[in-house]
Amino acid sequence: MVSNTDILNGLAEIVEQVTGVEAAKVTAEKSFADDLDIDSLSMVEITVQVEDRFALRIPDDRVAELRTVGDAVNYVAGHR
Amino acid sequence: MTTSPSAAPSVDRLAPWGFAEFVEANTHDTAYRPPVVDGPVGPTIFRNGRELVNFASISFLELERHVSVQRHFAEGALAHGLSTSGSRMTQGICRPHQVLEETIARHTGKERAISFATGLLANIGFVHAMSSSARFDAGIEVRNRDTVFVVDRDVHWSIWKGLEGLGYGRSVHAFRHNDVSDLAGILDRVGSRKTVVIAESIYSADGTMGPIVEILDECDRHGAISMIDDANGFMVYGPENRPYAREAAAIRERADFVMVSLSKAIGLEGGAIAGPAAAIDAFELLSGTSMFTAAIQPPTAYAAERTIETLAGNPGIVDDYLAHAARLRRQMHEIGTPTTPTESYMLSVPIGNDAAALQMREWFVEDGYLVPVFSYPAVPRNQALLRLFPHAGHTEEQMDGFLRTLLAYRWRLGL
Repeated sequence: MVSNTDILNGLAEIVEQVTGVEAAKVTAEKSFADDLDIDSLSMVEITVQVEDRFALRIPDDRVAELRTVGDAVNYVAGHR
Repeated sequence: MTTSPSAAPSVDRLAPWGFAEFVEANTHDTAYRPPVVDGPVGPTIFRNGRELVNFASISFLELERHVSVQRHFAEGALAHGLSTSGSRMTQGICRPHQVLEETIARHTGKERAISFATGLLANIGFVHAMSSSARFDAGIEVRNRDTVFVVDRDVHWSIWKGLEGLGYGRSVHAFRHNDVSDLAGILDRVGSRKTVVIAESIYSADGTMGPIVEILDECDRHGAISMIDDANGFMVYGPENRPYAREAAAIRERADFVMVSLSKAIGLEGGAIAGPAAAIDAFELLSGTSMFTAAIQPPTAYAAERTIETLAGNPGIVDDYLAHAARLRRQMHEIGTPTTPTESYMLSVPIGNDAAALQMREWFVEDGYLVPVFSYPAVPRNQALLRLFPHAGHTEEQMDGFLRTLLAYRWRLGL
């Protein structure tokens, strides 16, 4: 059973690998664009790796709605 | 904005596309219809009835002073016609194309070159040729949809356009601008035996030269193919006495493929990809953009070859220009205006605030200068910059006037 904490940690690792932003900074309330300065190009790369890591598909129009780290964690938790 | 009285039905049908709203809302560019230029563009430009000192021209060498380009163009037109009037495959290429392609191959140090109507088509054609699958008949096929591309984030739109649809995040990755360790990390992760790395030599927004030697080292280490878009460097860098001789030598001796443009230093229009003969031969059939559209007009191809040879045989033309650009950079520093660190001829002046940069552009035009501004979304928010091309034909007076004006604006905006 994968907990939300596991998902957050996995997501943080992916964000660090793709963008260089430290995993410790990737916390639920942070906005990808405004707080973590992650642009749309990096978001695509992050999304692909999240899909592979957690074995799910995130349609393009849903990606745009995932504004915060928490949004992404909740999405993964709800769609695995 | 006026609407044609008879247009009502078609305007309704286009409504879902939102074009009218987009144009109305586009306050970044107050002139969304392009200005109209009269007469040849040079160190000055005659635009909407006014003459402006021109820092926007990508063709900056004032070549007519050194080589009779217009005469060559006319000779080429008389001897070879105005248009190829047919496709490379069906009818053939014209003699000037053959000569131009051999000339480009020689000057880039590659086995063969193939020309395209524009550099944009060259880039799209390259990506397409490297990534497509085609089956012409039993035993006559290629299967390259498994190619992985790793590109600098800041590569030209034309590369990104070619990569569209190939699957960003799987078949396409981007490394942070000029960041070789990020490139290395991605190449380590990707581990494909069919990887193509694409980077530019001189980048158009910040004027920096990419870390070419280190990029090619990583390509060697990972068995990746390299393509260097040398649009802004071709026939400018190379000789030992100029900056970036090391990078130019690496492009020449080690890059697998090079893209060159004929619309920059060469001052005409067109592009080419140079590389191994077997691949370029295959590109004739696989690029699409050499086959399914017009080619460089014969007189342009003829004049381009003459111009390339003139630049090669008269190094003083580019040497003098580079000294002129370096002088303007020094003068900008002397008046306390920082420029993005680079030794290239492009002057990139960080301004920061998007609104301030756009305001400066308007003021410049009012005061008689055409200065390109890169603002959001072309660059990240509030990282706006001025990007100037010094022109070989600018006078001392014009440059001094520009510097005084720039200083005044910076003071006015509190920069």
